[in-house]
Amino acid sequence: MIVVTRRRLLEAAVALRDKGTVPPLVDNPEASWSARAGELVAPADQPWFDAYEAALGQAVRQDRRLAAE
Amino acid sequence: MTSQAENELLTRVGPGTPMGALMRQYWIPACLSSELVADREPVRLMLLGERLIAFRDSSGRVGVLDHRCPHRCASLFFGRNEEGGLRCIYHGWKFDTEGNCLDMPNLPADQDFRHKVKAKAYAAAERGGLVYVYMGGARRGTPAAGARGDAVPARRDRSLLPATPVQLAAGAGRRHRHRALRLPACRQARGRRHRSRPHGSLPAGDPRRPPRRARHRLGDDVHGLSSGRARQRLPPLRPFPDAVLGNVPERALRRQHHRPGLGPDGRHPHHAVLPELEPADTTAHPHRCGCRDPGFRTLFADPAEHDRLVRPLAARRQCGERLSDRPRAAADHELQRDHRRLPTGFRRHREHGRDLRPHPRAIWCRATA
Repeated sequence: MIVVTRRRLLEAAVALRDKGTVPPLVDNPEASWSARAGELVAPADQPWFDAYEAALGQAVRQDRRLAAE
Repeated sequence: MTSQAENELLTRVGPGTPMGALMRQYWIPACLSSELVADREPVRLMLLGERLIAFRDSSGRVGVLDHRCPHRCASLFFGRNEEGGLRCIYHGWKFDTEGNCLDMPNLPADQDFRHKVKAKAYAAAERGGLVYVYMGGARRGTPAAGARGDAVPARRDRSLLPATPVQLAAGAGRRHRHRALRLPACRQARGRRHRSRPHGSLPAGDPRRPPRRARHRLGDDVHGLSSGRARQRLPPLRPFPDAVLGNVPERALRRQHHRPGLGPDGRHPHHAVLPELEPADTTAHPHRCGCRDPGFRTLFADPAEHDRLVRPLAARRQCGERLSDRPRAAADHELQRDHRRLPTGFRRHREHGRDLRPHPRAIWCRATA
């Protein structure tokens, strides 16, 4: 998570510097309002990473959900 | 693994740096609205490496200015917050919340050039009990904040949080005059493990180990905060004093933010966490415990130079003795003294308002006693 965040920050900063790209969430800050950590309880008979993959597959990015609405 | 160049890019957030430009695209929470009282003393802010002051004028508008008067660079922090503006204590120039000069009493009327003078000012807006500052200048396509005093332009407004007040955690400490310092500390307090890190590894009896009270205030001592005995040692819990954020149900937020440390009912002020926080920057103490070390080590080509000039004060700070905990006069004195002790080149550099000098060494210095 930390690595991904750093990488995204670097990319956003470089894009802003070189191309003037406005970084994410500047135009749709409401997408971050409900950003929270998730959790799940995996069934005992299922490997947790399968359960995790399944849960992740159902997750919807807030900014896309807002865009769809 | 980030390279050294990437680290530089990531951590330098002063004016003119790429990451600083990125951060300046967003509104930055600066302090609590309640800290700014109309016609009372200004409050110091340190945002993205810039020293600022915030004040509230007679009509209730919030102004965020560079702390230096454009005339002779005296700190406007010492200024008099008079009717409709802040008057520099040095030669009496007076500025409104947008940085316009209103008065030049040291000049005869025919030489007055107040319309040519503008203090560096940032747009400020209040939402849910917090003061937000926009340091990005004109936004693409947006007129350069022509309507700033009247209404926040829609684009900017959308970057802010909803105005609906929700009782939530902005920190309850009356002790902390300079609440902006608290915000990064709050973020550090989010995870239990983080809290135990900064000073927790020093053995008991080590003089560098902050006193218990200080550690507790900085939010870095867990020592089983959730256990019954530890709880009894804490000051009594109070309801959160300031409405802060949200369109999220209060209880959900509380549960979210307080889960790691204290459980659903744990409402210790130090576990206040705001969704948007001032990013820790290179002017923050390397421990990122919320205190600031104005002469931190990486600015100096030779770290020994830092130790000679700054260390004693920094060491004291590190031990929990913080400027913001002292009476204002003492704090001011100390700040000025700090300033004088810095090498001339550094001081001049600062006064011209440019970014801190880059240095090839690592960003976070190793903390030594």
